[in-house]
Amino acid sequence: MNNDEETSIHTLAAEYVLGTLEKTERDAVEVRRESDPLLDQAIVRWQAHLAGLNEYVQDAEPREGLFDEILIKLDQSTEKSTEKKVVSEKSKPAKASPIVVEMDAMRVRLKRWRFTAFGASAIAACLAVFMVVNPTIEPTAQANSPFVAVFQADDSQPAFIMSLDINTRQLTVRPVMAQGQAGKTYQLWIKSDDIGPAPRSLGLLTNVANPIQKKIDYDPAIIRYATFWY
Amino acid sequence: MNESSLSEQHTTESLAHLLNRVAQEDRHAFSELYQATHRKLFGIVYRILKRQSLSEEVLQEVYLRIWEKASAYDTRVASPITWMATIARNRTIDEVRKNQLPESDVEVDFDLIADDSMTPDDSFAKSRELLTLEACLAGLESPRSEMIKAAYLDGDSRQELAERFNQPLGTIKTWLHRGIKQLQGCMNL
Repeated sequence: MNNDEETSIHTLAAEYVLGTLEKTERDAVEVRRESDPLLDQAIVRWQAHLAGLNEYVQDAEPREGLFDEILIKLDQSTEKSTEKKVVSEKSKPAKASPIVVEMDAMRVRLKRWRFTAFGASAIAACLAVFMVVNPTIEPTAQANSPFVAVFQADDSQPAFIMSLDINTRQLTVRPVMAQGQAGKTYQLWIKSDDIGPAPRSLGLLTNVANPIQKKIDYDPAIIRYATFWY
Repeated sequence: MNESSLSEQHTTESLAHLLNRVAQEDRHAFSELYQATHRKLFGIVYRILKRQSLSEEVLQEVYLRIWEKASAYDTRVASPITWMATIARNRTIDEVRKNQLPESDVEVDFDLIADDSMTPDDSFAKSRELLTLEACLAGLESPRSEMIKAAYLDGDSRQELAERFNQPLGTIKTWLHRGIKQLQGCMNL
């Protein structure tokens, strides 16, 4: 490569890093660098050498709660990926659907409220509350009965009741004492070692005035041992 | 890039470790990384966009990209904060070029660019890279050094530089290219 070619590549790389190129020129550089290692290397070197200018920039503070919004977007992105995966795996033979669900009580992350979960053996304990909320459904401890759990706020007030049919993966959240707060939305989470170290969102509970139904796109074997909270 | 404005508890090594954990989808590490770096990255984005709400929107996308690309981070290529700042600047420049934002009500005092956030204490913490760059910029004819800084820090396009320096567009292009060539030689690029 002669000096003119090298200068030309460096000029283009430097202008790209400085940001002085117009949109079409930037787009063209980004395409070209994929197949032009010399241009790509020149860009990386200019980025490193000009980065010191960032020390002139004063720190600034974005609005509070922005990171939670980032996590929600991350979950939405993950859910889309999961949906694609589920669709692609639909042709696989269905696994047996476990009936018994085991759940742990754990500290609420976002709302700092606590969630108390009840396994099949504890269904009777929350039956009274459940019946008040929805007397038309009579959960039993039989094999195909829905799993029922009470989400509590402040250790005493039942906020939501969640029923979950493991076979159909249909989840219903019914508000009890939960009330919406201006500018805030409840969110339902699932945690299982089988789907990674981090909790995954099951979506927002946007309208707490009415029952909310959701389909859980996780394998029953995962749901069986998962932990839920909001 | 100097990390004096980052959390004092974080070093290049600790940020690289956090990025490594983020690459393994560790959200606690992601949270810690955000806490350590978001003020710096938001400062970079906001200085160019000059709009709080839009800057916050872009910052969200920046961190989502950091999450996605963390596994591609290479300690041999750049420091963690330089790598993240590059993602932030690229996304911001894309945004400003895409929308061709109208002039903001917020005026930036160009005379303050070089001194922005540079308190006397900070001057002792300048990185070696910045000192080298400043020495090379000082060798440029006036006002090419200021033009390079305006482009990088404020995201000015060539047209905006022409307006700011009250010069024809062709002159700005010539200044840019000559300045770049001179910096290239000075920094042995």
